[in-house]
Amino acid sequence: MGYPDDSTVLAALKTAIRNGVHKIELGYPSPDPKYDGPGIKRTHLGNPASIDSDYPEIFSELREHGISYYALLYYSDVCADLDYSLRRLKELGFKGLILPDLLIDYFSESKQIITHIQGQSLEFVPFFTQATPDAVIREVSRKTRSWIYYGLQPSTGIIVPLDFKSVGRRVGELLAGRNVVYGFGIRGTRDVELLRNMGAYGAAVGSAFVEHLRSGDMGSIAELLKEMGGAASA
Amino acid sequence: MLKSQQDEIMPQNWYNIIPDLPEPLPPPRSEGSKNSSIELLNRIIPGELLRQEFTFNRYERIPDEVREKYQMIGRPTPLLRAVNLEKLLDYRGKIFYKYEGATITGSHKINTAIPQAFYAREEGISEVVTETGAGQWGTATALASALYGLKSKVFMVRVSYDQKPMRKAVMNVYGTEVIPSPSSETDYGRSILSQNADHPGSLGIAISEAVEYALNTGSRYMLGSVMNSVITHQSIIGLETKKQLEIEGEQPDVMIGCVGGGSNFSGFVFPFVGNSNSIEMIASTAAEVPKFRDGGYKYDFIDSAGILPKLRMYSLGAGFVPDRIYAGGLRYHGAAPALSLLVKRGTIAHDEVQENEVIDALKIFSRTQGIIAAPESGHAIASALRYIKGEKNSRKTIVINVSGHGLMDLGIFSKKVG
Ligand SMILES: Cc1ncc(COP(=O)(O)O)c(C=O)c1O
Repeated sequence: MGYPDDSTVLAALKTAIRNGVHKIELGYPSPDPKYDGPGIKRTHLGNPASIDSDYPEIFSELREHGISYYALLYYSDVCADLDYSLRRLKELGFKGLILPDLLIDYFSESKQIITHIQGQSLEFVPFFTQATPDAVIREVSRKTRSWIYYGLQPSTGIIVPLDFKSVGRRVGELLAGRNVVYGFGIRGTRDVELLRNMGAYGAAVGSAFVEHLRSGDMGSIAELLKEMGGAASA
Repeated sequence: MLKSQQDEIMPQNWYNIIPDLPEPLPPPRSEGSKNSSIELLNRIIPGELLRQEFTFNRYERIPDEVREKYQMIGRPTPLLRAVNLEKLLDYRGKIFYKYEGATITGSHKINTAIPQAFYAREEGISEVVTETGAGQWGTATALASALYGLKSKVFMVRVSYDQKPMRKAVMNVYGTEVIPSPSSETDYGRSILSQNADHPGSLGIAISEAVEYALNTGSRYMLGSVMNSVITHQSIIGLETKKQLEIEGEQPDVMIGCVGGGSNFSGFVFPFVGNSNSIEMIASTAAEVPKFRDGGYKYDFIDSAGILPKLRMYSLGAGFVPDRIYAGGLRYHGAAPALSLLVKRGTIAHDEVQENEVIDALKIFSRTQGIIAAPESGHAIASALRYIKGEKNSRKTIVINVSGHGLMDLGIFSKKVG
């Protein structure tokens, strides 16, 4: 949200919707985007957007087209008044939320927090990474029924060597029957093709999308989404 | 040892604890919003090593070429019962020790140097570079690179360089170029020297110099400790120990090892962590570098210049410069993230031992078991002696990891022979 400015975000969302995007994750900026790579980090810095603002045009556009949208927030930014944040997210029409730092930095309290979020009728979308232990994946996924976000790389937008096949095997074993959306470091059609072969439900495109947002070129956003849509219906 | 015996004890796979940890391991962090220091690792270490660094695979197959070299350098290493020590202490339980000093280079460091040099060679790299404190890691790198026909360069912490000419000579014989750090070969070294021409050096500085050199020359940096992939390679210590104890019909009650960056200790105990909550595990550090006792569990840089990412670990601060060096290998400011996590949770206990106590322990061990252990390993022995003192009447089975021999470190006795 808010990057590079509100009107570009709105235009990009419209473009995305026209090009068949089903779900949208709206990231709110954090003063400390601790686990993000450089591309996404830049979208956080000096960005005043927050859940306090209403953005009526953006949300009515999403609602009108029946798009489910989810908030991505660092738990460290909302924990001071979690109930306020959850209330706001409900008011704004979010279907659920993703808290990438919850299992890492607040592990011992995480079960309670998840139950609390679900009690406010918001979907808790589990966020797992390569470093999430098997037992944690099993336990947390069992507590939820939503789709699952699986981060492939150690942080957003970066690439280190990765064996897609073994990720597929792991997810097949630990998350059988669940809708898994993969994110982090997904750049082009080749990645999406690999993910489709792994049985992915979707691909979350962050840094690559943000690069186009920065340029404000809606044509290239449409092209990126068409290309990816050709490879998977994400 | 006969090949059939080797095959029975030496595992086919290394073990990676990440998927079995009780909670997620915090990821590395990159500072700033320009470039990612995590992504930069692509240019610093071999790709296969980087894949292993971030993998959730519980087992990694040890390449046949690496297993062959492991046999050549003396694996599996012996697991021995310290009968004379038991007698001396009048201990009713059993004391075993895994002896990593039996490898050709004299410590566990060769266990990861071999696969790292192998992956570099497989990827067409012609030169490797690293740092060394006490000299054990530099020696391991020197031999591993010789075995794979790679050129090698070692930035050696200046105090060690000056005090341990024999270590330098060993590395030179293997064909390695050894440079005292801080050096004038890198921007970082020059900046340190310009402030203090007599700077004694530190591991953090030497790591930064080696990494800078790798980035400037297209060579690859060899990781001596701390990183997940290194600990995966070092799991061979614990996997062999497990098998050897099984053959003896023994179960450990207590496992004790020393911690510098955490690689020998983690490699020794991690294969046992998942199986049993009843094993006491004790990480012994130098009281002069009390990272677990006085360090914070926080994000801190791996190296002093901050070229590499930050890791969540117990750390005394990346700028930490210890003033004495009787156990150079324990002078690192931080400790491996997975080990730090388990210490934070209380799964692994810690102990801090001072120089005098270590020297006494080394003497006792050498006069009972015949082995002059490395000063680093002396911490594990000293912690074991402390433990046994408090458990005179118990019948616990204690297993100590003796990470290296101390034949190149005899200088520590010169002041205090007696
Ligand atoms: C013999 C010996 N033991 C232990 C260590 C400490 O390192 P680590 O904690 O990585 O095993 C060193 C490091 O140089 C060493 O040479």
